[in-house]
Order: sequence, then structure tokens, then C-alpha cells
Amino acid sequence: MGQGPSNYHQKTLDPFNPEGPKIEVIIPHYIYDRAYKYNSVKYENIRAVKEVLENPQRIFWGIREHSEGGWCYTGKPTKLYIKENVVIDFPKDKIFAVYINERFIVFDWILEYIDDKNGLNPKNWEGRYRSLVWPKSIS
Amino acid sequence: MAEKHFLDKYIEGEKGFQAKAWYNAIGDCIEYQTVNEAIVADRIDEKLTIYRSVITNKPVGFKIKDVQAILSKYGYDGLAVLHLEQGTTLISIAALLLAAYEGGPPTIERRRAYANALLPQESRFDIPINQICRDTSTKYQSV
Repeated sequence: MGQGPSNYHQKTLDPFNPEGPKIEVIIPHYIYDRAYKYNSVKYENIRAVKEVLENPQRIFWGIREHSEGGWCYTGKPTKLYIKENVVIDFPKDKIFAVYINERFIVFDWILEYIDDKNGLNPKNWEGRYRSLVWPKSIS
Repeated sequence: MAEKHFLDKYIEGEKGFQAKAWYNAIGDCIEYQTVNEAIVADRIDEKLTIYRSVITNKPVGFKIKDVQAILSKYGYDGLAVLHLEQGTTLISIAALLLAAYEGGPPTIERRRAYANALLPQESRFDIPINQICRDTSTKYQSV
């Protein structure tokens, strides 16, 4: 028996002050409950969401054409569920992206192809996001 | 045995999968996935992302972003259809996809991607190329 509906609060870097105190972002019950009931492999990969938010490699700002703000946190989790009950080491040629809106609510997570020049960036990141927030610069 | 999921204690009911489009209100996007597998995002343009299976790399769904912006631009009249049996009005995902396509450059890559989204693999009604074209050179065999 569960503890009932509850949004999950996850600590992560503050995109406005990445070297300062951590902030909490919310994984809404509405989002993870739907994944559990209708997209169970996606639900299992919320484990990867937690890992990436605990140790993000990149934070990008400005993720949509028609709305201001929103962030994409990316990283390399240790494991990936590819089917129900099938777990693999996270693939080297992919990056895991967590999408967060301007109110610090997680609304999506997905694998992305990596950039040719830097394996910690999503493919075409320079055209997709308005700016890189953290780290300040990358080679 | 897999480690217990940190959210399991907040969940009740049956775990499962359903291939059904849904509107993610927080992300303002429509998501549709046909298989219960990990997927990788194949971003086509600002509006459309094709989902590809991590296992097979085949298209297995899509995401349409900025749905409210599309509705604002084109209006409900051009995107809504009446469901005759239930008497309810629905937003046509096909019409949304066509509207999203209109907003970008008419490249072959975009056209292929939008066609894949409009007619997913399991419900295609394609016809053999040699029924339409006399010259079916080998370059078309793998398209």
C-alpha cells in the first residue's frame, strides 16, 4: 500500500547560482503516476532522472521557441531500463536529458543523441537551447 | 532482482503500458509512444520530435511541442473534429501535425519525419513504388 499521492522533491543545482546552495525541483505525482500506469519503462527511468539531477553535467536554458525559460539538465546515469525488467549500462553514445519548466517542475525525461564534438552535450544543442548555463564554458 | 524504485511508495494500482496519445499540460506537448521500450529523441524541428526505439532505432512515436501556440495560431476551427458517436469535440492530432509542418521549411527530412508521425509503422497504408513509377531504380529500394 502506498503513502498516497505526493509530489517528489529532488535537490539539484540552482541554475541561477550553480555554485551556491542546491534548490528543490518537483517531480509531480501527476507525471510519474501516469508513467507508472501507461509507460512503465519510462517510469523505471525516473531513477536516471534522480541521478542526473544529483550530478548534472550540463544545464541549458531556453528550451522552447514559444515560451520563455525552462531548463534542460543532462548527464550520464549509470543504468538504463530498455524494456520491462531489462537493464543495461547507460550507452556511451547517448546522453540523458531532464526537462524542467520555469517553475522548476520536471515534465519530461528522455535519451538524446550526443553532439559530435562533445559527448556530454545533446546533438545540435547550440541551435536548440538559448544558452548554456552550467558549466560556464565548455571545450 | 531490481532495486526498489524510490517512488513506489507513492504509487498505487497496476503498472503497465498503453499506446495512447496524451497531452502533457506541464510541458505543453502531446506525446505518443507505441512500444514499452526506452526511446531516444530524434529532434526534427522546433515542434516535432520523433521517438526512436533504443533497441531497434525504428520510429515508435512522437512528441508535438508548443501545442498552445499552434492552437493560438490556427484556431480551434481548423484543428477540431466532432466525434460523432460520443458527441464530443476532439483536437485532431493529424491536423496539429499538419499545422506544425506548415510552420517550417519544406525539406525532405521534415516531410519524411512528419509522414512517419502521421502514419506510424503499425498503421501504414503505403503502396509499392512500382505501382506508381515506371523507373524504380535501386536507390529507392531502402527508403
